[in-house]
Amino acid sequence: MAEVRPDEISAILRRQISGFESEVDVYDVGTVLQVGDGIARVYGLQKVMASELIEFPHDVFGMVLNLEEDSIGCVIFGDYGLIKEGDLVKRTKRVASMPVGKEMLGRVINPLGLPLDGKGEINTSLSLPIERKALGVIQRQPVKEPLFTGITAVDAMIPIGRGQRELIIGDRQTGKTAVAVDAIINQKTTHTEEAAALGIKPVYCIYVAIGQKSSTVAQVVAKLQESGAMEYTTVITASASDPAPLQFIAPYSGATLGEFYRDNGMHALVIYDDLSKQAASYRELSLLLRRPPGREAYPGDVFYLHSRLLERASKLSDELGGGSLTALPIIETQQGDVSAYIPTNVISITDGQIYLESNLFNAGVRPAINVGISVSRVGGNAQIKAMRKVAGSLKLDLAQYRELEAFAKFGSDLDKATQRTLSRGARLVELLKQGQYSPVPVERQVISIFAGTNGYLDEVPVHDIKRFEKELLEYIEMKNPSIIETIKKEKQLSDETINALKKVITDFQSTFKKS
Amino acid sequence: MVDNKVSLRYASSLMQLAMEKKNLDILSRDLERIHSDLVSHHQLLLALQNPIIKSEVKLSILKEVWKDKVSNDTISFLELIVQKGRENLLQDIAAKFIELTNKHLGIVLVEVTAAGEFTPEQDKEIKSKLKSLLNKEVKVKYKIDDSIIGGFQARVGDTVYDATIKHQLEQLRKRFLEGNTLINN
Repeated sequence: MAEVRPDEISAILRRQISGFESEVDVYDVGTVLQVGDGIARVYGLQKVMASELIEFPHDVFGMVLNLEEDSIGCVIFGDYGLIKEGDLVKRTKRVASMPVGKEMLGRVINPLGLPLDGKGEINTSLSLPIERKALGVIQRQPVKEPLFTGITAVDAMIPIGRGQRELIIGDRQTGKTAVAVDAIINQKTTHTEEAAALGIKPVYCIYVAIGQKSSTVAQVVAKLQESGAMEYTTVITASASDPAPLQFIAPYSGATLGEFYRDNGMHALVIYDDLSKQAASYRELSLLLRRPPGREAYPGDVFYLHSRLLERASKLSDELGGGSLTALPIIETQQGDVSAYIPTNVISITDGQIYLESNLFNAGVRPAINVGISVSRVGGNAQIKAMRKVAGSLKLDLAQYRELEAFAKFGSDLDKATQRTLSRGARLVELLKQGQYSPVPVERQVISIFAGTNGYLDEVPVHDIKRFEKELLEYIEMKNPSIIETIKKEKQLSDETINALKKVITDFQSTFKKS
Repeated sequence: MVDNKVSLRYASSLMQLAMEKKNLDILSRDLERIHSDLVSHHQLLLALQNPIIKSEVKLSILKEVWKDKVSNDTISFLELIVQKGRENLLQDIAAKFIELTNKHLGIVLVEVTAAGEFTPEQDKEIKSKLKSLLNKEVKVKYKIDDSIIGGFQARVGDTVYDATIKHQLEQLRKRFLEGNTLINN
């Protein structure tokens, strides 16, 4: 690095100082009455706005949450140990906001938009308030474009559309984050030139980690980097060691960044991992601010906390550019109890849920999605025709299988039809199993499910299903790749394609060797 | 918080009474005196706040202290608050009353902090400046604080007009730190 000469430094300083205006500065102040546990009570600041950013000494900032008769309650984004009783607090006259822009892609930031990855400053030109009102009815349109997660079970039976809010719910260690991370990795296909040629617009991703271990977040980031997904992803993290105020605003920051893409006619996917921790940190703040506790000690407005966040996910009307913001909130349940306060709230807010179960997970069904109680209320409209066609019978077959599954335990003396349903079901369950970080393109999913629901797997032993599927796809790719291309382009299964598929699968069956 | 409300209630009723009787000037002078006496004589305040001392004794003390110095209305006001057991709030009530009177008369209290004594000309100039700026009568209270290095700072309620060297240096520090600050905006 070239050495900086002293006269250069003084020139810079002179330039800086000469531009400095020394007029009388007018500002509003208040006095700290009480401080501790990340919150402060401030006397004065008569004209302060709700959720305005205020400045404490030592460059510590805070956000106003409570406006009371003669004092205000605020949260502190920083080291509250530096603040003492009697300190002066200044208004900044701007509501808490964060910088947004495409410059954020590939970065790991905190909820205030500051980089945490050591890759230097982020130079954005725009900054938007963290709390924004969700759009109204007129600005929206129904969800109509699909957002593929690359997970066969989800894309076939619980389809997600761009602009939808789909909850991922389950106990600890059931693979909730894995589903979300797979969804991010699968968006890589939307950034290819091939996708652009097919008219699929790229989806930018935001992963918001709330109250997680920093090591877990680092793992996710490493995985995203490894799969090349970081190029279109921003990770916002407020880890377990960050103060509760930061954890509380983290999802709103994520929504703000997502809205930037949405409002500029682009598409974004935001993952809130997880909202139960955010609710817990909001409870902490609320209790410290002496708001009355309600059920499970959560404050009265904990429903609004999540509803206003998730309502920001939307699909814009064509007049507004047709951008979208899809939200995949994650909720962790305790011992599968979905009737706890926060899970019921979020279930009622979202447009469906993906329910993960630990007994399925332990039984080796991974992703451990319970397709019986998982639903997607709006995604069906966004599903491509080909998938809708094959997924209908898949759902039916699986439902019948579940109904009869209990009988299977008795083993003996089942009639032919029941046995057939059971063996079909077991094969379909096997077919829906999928490794982590290995998203499958939708056209391949269609072919696999087609083979499953049309009985081509019935003769294959259950332990050979995955190998059969893999080799079948390889075979088709080699012998008749036009089928894959046709499904990709036409997005539906014409009779021609069906016949071609049937033929190629029959051909393959004869070459397949059972192990 | 509760004390605050109580003092405000007493102060505003006294104020209403004064306006009815049209002796606001006398009462405000009396209460200013009471306030300043209480501030300068801490012992008296402690005596009033002491729950062991009987209220008759407190009343006689109060009468003794201010008998010939304040008007009869003020004395009866003192009797009332002792009777109601709110004598511990006397200082607060007096302060609130002064605040209310100032508001009523359109006077604002300005606290001016400077590094050194003001000359009479400076004093006059600052008063007229503030008067034209705030569009109100001003009552200036001076404070000397050499940590501000130079210039002055005027505080009206929650608003600060800052022209101190200390503040300017602080601004300059921030200017240099721009881009490295904790909040980007």
